[in-house]
Amino acid sequence: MLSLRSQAVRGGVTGVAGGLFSGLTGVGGGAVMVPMLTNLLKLSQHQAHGTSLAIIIFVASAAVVPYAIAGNVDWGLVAALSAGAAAGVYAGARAMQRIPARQLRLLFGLFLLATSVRLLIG
Amino acid sequence: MPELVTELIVGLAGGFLGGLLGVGGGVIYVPAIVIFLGEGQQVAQGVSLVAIIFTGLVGGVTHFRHGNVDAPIVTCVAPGAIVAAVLGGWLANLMPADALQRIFGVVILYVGASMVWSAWRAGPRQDERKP
Repeated sequence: MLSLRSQAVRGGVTGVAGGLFSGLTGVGGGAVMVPMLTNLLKLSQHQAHGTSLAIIIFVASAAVVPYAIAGNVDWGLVAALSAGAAAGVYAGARAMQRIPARQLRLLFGLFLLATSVRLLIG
Repeated sequence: MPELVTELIVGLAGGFLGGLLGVGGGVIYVPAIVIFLGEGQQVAQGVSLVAIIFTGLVGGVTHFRHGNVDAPIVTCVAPGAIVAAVLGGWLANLMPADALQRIFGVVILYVGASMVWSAWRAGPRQDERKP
């Protein structure tokens, strides 16, 4: 069990790292926060995922402010994308029960690696 | 309106993959918006963040119902995260787009590599899902 003080310090470090990462890159920050929540704050993998998602609501809401001020949020695109995404998330979560996850994660990981090469070199 | 159709498809595919793989939409949305919709890196990141607010709300409520949100941890992580997120977003909007795109490239290199690594390490036998 962590003391309240060390929980506050470790929580602060996790928040600053996740928030900075999210604001700078436009992703939620779960990739940074989930490992910190399990290693530094001793949460289980499931607790870390749920807790990270709850924090991401605050993180993304705050991070979007400077983008909106700079005029870098295309609200028409947001509307179309969100409409598609709402249906997609639902279908994806249902399909998750039936599709072998490991091969899929492997494939998608390779796809991300290929995309990163394109972004880094292209 | 072919543009609207492309936008809907990018949203649908991003949401589907995100839901299926349990990854946040950002690593899918940002490159998809840049590559398929031809927007700049900053706009892609701004739009991605708004989409993440919605998916975070849906996912967060679901996890909360299952008792998987540690509220005291949220209260000690969120304040620093909010301040740092504004700072990070401010920096991103000052940066040249190609520098930002390279930072993003490193991010998905890391996420991709860790997905491949964990899937590889899990081995073919442990394919069943965690409860």
